[in-house]
Amino acid sequence: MQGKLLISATGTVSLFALSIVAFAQSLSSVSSRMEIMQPETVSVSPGAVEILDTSEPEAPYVENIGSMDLDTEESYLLAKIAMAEAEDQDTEGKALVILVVLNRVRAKGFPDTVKEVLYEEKQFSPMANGRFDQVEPDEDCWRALEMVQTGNWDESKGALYFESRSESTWHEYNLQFLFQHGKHLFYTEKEMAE
Amino acid sequence: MRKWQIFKSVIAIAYSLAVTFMAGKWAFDYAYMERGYEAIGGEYLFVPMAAWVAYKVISIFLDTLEEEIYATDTRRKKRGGRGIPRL
Repeated sequence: MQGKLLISATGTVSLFALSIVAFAQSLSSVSSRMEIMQPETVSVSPGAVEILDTSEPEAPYVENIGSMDLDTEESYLLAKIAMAEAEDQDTEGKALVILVVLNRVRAKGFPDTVKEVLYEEKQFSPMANGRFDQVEPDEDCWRALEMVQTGNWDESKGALYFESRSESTWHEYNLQFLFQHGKHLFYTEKEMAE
Repeated sequence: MRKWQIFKSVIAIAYSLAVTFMAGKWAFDYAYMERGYEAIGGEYLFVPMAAWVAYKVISIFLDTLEEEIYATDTRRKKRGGRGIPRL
């Protein structure tokens, strides 16, 4: 009888401990996901602002997207991020994800190549959680890429950020909301919108 | 006896809810991470299963505990002791 009691007590405690571990793991993954979507804050000294102000005004974003020469690897990476981030979205939703990456390539404050933008630390959650390595782009992703590259389709309004989950309010408070497409909310930086 | 039954039910429900909540949270987050978007999937099946398993486990434990206490009480009485009050 005592053996049975011991076994059942062990089972009860083990199940509880297991669920606590799982819960703790899910909490840590959520917090890391939130961090991933938040770019690091960069402090700019007054002198640096002066230098920035004297630079050439940036050309409208629409002009450059279609003219971007993407090699095979970059095209593949773009199709892949569209799949990882917007598998459940329509073609336009996938194209918008691609456009956010391309907008970042052109924008100041972000790396200058597609690969660097995608692999920049704490930016795209599929990079951190391993989903990017698991997915393969489907036909719709390639169609979305084609829309952007050869069709010059750009409804991104210069978006540099997007989020698919609204648990975090970081985007809402720190960025300028542009529009929503499907489940994705698109943002740009406040100073760029003004 | 009635108090013990109420206590047992409360403990069993509280334990099941706690385990289901924690395991369910993990399942939903894991499913979201794997899938990449929110949808209704297998994780919804996992929740009632987790609740059932948790309820069974705690019920078996409490029943065994009850039997053990009752058996101890009976043994003591047979030896002539006063024993502990019955549940």
